[in-house]
Amino acid sequence: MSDDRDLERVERMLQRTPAPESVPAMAAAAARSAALGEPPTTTVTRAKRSWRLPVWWRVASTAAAFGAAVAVAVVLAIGGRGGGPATQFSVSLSGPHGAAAEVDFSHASNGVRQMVVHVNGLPPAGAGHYYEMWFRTPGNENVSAVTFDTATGGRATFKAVIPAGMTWHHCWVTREAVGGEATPSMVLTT
Amino acid sequence: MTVVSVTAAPRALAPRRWSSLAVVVHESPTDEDLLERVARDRDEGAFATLYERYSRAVFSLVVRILRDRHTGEDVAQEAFAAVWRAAAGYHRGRGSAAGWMFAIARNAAIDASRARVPLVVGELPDRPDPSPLPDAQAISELEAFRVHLAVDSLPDREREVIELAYFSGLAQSEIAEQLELPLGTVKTRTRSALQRMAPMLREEVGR
Repeated sequence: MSDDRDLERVERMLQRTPAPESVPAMAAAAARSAALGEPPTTTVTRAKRSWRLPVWWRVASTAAAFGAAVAVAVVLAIGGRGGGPATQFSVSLSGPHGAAAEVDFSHASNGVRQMVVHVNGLPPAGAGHYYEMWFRTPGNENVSAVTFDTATGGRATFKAVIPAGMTWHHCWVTREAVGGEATPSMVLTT
Repeated sequence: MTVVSVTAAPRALAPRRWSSLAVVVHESPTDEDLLERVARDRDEGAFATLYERYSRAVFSLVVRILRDRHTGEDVAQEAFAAVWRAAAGYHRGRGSAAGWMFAIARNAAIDASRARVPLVVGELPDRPDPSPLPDAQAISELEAFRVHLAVDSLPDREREVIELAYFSGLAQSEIAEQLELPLGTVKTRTRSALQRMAPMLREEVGR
């Protein structure tokens, strides 16, 4: 049985340990394939995808982009919401059935900007599927930032980075199939 | 993704450091059993279990060394491929499976960082390097690796509380609110998790 001093020391170890990285689902599949000598079913290369988006989505995204821009401006103006000393600004994403995510962006450092993503109410993607977070740049390029999955209970907390100089006006999450999916479903959006 | 240049760090570390690594407690089979099954029987199921146990700690380690998540994906993949190929080189008597896998992942990351060191043209200013000494850096990486393994081995409901408290910086009252649990339950789960982790991190506890 551990005494209180043991527990305090474990706490101190936890306090000085950085958050673990989320393992990208695509990398996991590729690692298994590489190790087992099978042809990889997926690639870990980050894809930049151009989509034909439906009209309703383009209208909604314009409104959402405006809302997100206002939200970012408000958060910047009031100096953040206390999500840690490194947080520069935060954005919220929401989806059907109460699914939501909060993304805390840190100040840019070493060429990257770290984000801490808190997801709630999003059921696990299921076998053969994963979630992917995207950003749209001012040039209307869709840039994949990170892949992840949620635990039982629909929650996930993980860190990822985007290039420090990357500007974007819209962020969303899709549910994707390992090996590719022609029409990924959008599950969260700003 | 942006590629961040990384300074190469010497790899040399005394092998005895790995043999002192405590084994993370799992339900049977142990990591050592699994690794031996991979070596002896080329057991893909055993390898998949090892992957489940170690993927996050290995990936976090290589990203921490490389400071580049994108390259880290490739290096973690290569590290697991090396585990599969080199499993026969593991001998239980020389130390834990965790230590052996840590060494493989760290070496893969350092090899990758060396390959990415940019060619220096001209004379560098003579300034002290502010980064930690190689040994101190390796010990810190080892501790983080072990803490991540210990956290990953917790039951889901305890792991969730620990991650929110220590990796997301939430107060216990905020965790209670987010998980819709009584504050007392959060405190109980936190204490239970710390108690479960203490023996896994016994050697560091004594430091």
